[in-house]
Amino acid sequence: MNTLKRLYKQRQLQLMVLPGIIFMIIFNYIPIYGIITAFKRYTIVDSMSSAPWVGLENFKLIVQDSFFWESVRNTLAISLMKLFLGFAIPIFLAIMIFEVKNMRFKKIVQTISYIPHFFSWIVLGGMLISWLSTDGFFNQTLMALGLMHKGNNHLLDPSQYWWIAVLSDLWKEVGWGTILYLAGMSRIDPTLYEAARMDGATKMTQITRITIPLLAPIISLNLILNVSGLLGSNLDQTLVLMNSQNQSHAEVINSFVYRMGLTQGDFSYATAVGLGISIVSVILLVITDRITRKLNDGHSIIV
Amino acid sequence: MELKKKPRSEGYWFYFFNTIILILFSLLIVVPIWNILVSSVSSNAGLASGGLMLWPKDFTFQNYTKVFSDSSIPKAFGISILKTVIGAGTHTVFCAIVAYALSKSRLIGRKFYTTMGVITMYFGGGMIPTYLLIKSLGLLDTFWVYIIPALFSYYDCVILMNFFREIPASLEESAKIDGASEWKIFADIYLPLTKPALATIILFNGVGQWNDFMTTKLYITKQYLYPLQMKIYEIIVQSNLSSMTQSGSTDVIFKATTRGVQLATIVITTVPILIIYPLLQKHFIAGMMEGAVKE
Amino acid sequence: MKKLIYGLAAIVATLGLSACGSNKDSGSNSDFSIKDRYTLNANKPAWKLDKKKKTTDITWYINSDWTALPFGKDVTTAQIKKDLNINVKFITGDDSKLNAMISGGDMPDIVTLMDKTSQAAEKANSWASSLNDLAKKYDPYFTKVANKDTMKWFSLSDGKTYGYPNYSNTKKDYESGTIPVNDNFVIREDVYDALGKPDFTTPEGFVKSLNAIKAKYPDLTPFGFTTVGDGAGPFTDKLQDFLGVPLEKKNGSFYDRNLDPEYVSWLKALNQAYRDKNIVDDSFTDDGATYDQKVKQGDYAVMLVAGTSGQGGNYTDFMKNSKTRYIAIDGPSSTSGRKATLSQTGISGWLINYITKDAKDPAKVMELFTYLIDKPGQILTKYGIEGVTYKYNDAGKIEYLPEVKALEKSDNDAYNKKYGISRFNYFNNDRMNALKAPEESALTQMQQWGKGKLYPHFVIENIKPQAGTPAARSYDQVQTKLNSTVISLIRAKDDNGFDSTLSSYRSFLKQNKWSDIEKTLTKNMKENRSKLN
Repeated sequence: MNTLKRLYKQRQLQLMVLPGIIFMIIFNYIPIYGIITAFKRYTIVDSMSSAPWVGLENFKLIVQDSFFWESVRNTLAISLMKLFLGFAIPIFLAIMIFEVKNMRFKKIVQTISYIPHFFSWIVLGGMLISWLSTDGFFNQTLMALGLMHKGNNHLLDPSQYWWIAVLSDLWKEVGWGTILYLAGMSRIDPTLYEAARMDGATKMTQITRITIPLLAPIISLNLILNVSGLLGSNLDQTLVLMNSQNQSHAEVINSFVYRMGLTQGDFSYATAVGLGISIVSVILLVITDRITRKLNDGHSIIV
Repeated sequence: MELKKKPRSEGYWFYFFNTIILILFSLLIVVPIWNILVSSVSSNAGLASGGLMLWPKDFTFQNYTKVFSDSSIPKAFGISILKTVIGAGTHTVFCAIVAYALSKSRLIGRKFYTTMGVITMYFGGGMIPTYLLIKSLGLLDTFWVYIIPALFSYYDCVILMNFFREIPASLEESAKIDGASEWKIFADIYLPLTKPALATIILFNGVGQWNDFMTTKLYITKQYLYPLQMKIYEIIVQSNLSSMTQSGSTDVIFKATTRGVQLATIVITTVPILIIYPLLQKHFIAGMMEGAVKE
Repeated sequence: MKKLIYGLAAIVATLGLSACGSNKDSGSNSDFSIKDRYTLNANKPAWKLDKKKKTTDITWYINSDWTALPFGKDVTTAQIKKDLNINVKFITGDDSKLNAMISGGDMPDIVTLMDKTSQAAEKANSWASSLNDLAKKYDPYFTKVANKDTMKWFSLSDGKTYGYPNYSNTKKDYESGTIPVNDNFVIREDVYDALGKPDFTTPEGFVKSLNAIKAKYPDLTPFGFTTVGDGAGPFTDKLQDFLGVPLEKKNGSFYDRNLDPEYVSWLKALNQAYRDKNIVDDSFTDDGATYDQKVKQGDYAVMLVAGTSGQGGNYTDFMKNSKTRYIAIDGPSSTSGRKATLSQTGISGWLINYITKDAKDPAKVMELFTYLIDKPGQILTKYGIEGVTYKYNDAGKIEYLPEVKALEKSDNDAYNKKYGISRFNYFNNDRMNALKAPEESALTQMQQWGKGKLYPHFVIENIKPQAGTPAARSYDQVQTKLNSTVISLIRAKDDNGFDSTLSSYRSFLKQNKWSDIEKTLTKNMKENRSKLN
């Protein structure tokens, strides 16, 4: 009774959530039955009902596949490196941009940093291959700076691939990653800095004591998403940069599944891997969410 | 005296290094971009070496004329702009409404709704059930397939929720005493105060719309509904096609798309965003200014 | 609890939905009839008999990212449109789009697949109509024009044929000499002459000649090859073809060409060339656009080329830019006197066209198939229209009109859009090449070189294990390993590196139970043989 009353009282609020809930039911929850393909043998000529059930067969195949585990290792390595660099650097960069006093310089730096985000990997990958070749842009720059005597082709060296994948992705996305932080900083009350300056706080103290704590919710949000996305990887990037020599370090889960799907015409396999990744991701999500709650007065960022 | 001087010089060095580092960072981004730009207006001969090229070789616009030789490009441009503007606009409003309600801890069923939302971030049914759904909704081959399935994302909702939570409850309470409805509070208090966040969502979603061609590939067969990115995609994959025909016969020779043409397409799709972006950027900065004036 | 109920409701609802979808596609056009349109005639194509007034819309799906020219706008397709009174709308996509259409029950009229071994092709009888049945029902003339060898080769286990390919070359075609080679070993003519026609046919000669090139032309990269990507480029089956590595064992069972001793010794020679710095690393990473540019500039003195026809534009450009050209010469060859067994598109062809069970007017679609396979259709789609794009010269051969040739050279896009010559090529084949007056091009010399060197590879075509089986997975992994092994062998730093890479490949084969896979391959070869005779 009491609940109903309360519900009626907040009917406007409930009416506001309703469209979102209806949307999710239609566009996210109705198609979710596609997950059952993970337990079927679903090929191109099948429909959901006609494909035969195979139980956990697909999962068994995956776990027994040594190439799959290699791709898991590469995915984790690349993602962890991306997590350490790609998570922290945009925060520093955003703070640095925020601290710029000259408006024009600020705008220019911001705009420049976003541009690479708009380049598709299909084309950028082609450029990167030539930049990283023996006489490419990269080696010529290093040689001009006296950091290197003789160039070699970096993409043929499997031991360099992880760095290439991480750094090129960072180059492309670092500026884009600052947007949310800059939006977050724009609501920090400038009088806080004023007061701190009066108290003689250095710039660094201002940043560590004011800027970063007030950014905590957004930082936590990004951390949560980054950690739960550890098993995800950039398919487009992998497909253009991978060659037969660096494959042992370049093959990631997504590209492996993509190739299996392509050559075997087996949709179930991809769904099964996807389902596995989703489950692990949610577990990681819950763990990081628990940890970051401490940063945000005990409440969760994500739910 | 000494005390006063110290922070100032510390601040000076901070700004000095900050500027230097940002200039170096900008160079790191700009030089490769410049290389791409220069290559796109060079004849193809200059491109093979992959070397350091800082000035066009045999300046030419042939790569651009090649891209624009397709008479349907302007039309595709129109579709792109239309879907970006309508898509980003409706998406942001839709998400903001839902996020406003979800940001209220008094909302009954909040936990259930948000759990539902989180699940959508990680679990999906895949392409085929989605295709069947879109088909049964009658969205195949309509412009609305760009807009309706993209109305909502829980991720954007979470961002907005976090911004809405920061608004002091006192503002809401005093409005309530004046008899304002939830809708009025949302529109008159929350939206104006979260402009930077809204601008961010518009930017994220608008760029997503602008770059997306998968929707077209999957659900659109009518050429006149093709956005620019789909046209660009077609131009780029043609170069892969010619290598595929190697296994085919001897008289099937398609003209491959050259590197220069590929780069021209990159520039063409990026420029509109660079023109529109400052309009949004104003709002980020406006947010900062407003805050400064108010307090 | 609430959550669970919602979820269950959603699943039940959608399962019902998808079940409906799959019911629709069986027997969709049982009430279709041609009674008031024409009577069957075995001696006359049905498209000439059909009196249907209304224009038929045909949807044509191509399972690839493909940009088809708009139908009916160019000279070629306008003629098809007029003759058959049809409109064709092209759709493109990949396997999942095709599956979405299959399970959604909205199949197009025609489906074109790229791969005969794909699951869609192997199970074509579940979604396509058999051409034998369609011919009987709607157009018996089809049986007259369809190639019998091709039809037999494409028959499924039920004995019926569902798909019809383009560029399917039969044994007869190989013997007739109308199909040119498509793989070459080429050299810049100026380099070749200046060095007094050096020898590349033996491993020792190959290594020595490349060194001679480097000494005399330090600015050139001595040896190059078509792009490798994440495969092995021309260094597996193509190179083996040049060396005449046998296709099968004497007893007809599978022969592992990748471990052929002569082939391995040639890989050693390539490795020596690499260690001599006559092969550069960038050649292994260059993508198509970069490689094309290098050829246009003549950066490589010597090249091993897979897909000569695809290089025509590059060679022409190089000829224009320089005073010399690339010519084909005898390259890597067998040391024991085996003859080269170069391959070309085989009997499996390139694109395979199917008529789906959902075709709204199967008679009309069948008429289109017959029209395109029949000789006049072949000439139309390959050369255009007499008097508009070509004329017959005094020798009775086809010759393009001067204004057509001029437009091709000056504005290739406009040329394609206006004439559509050889662009509507879903049923084309090389048989028609014989009709054309010989024309000098950058490829002529290379194709001339290859005369008599082609050898049908039909027996090992498409023998890989059926997709989706454990054997197929192992087979694919072996292929992946093979590609990286071959490139690693060529790039080996020393003899030890070479030997250990090779032995790790051998042990990889053992791990993946290669001997079992070989049995499957042998079995598939046996099946091929039965379809060939």
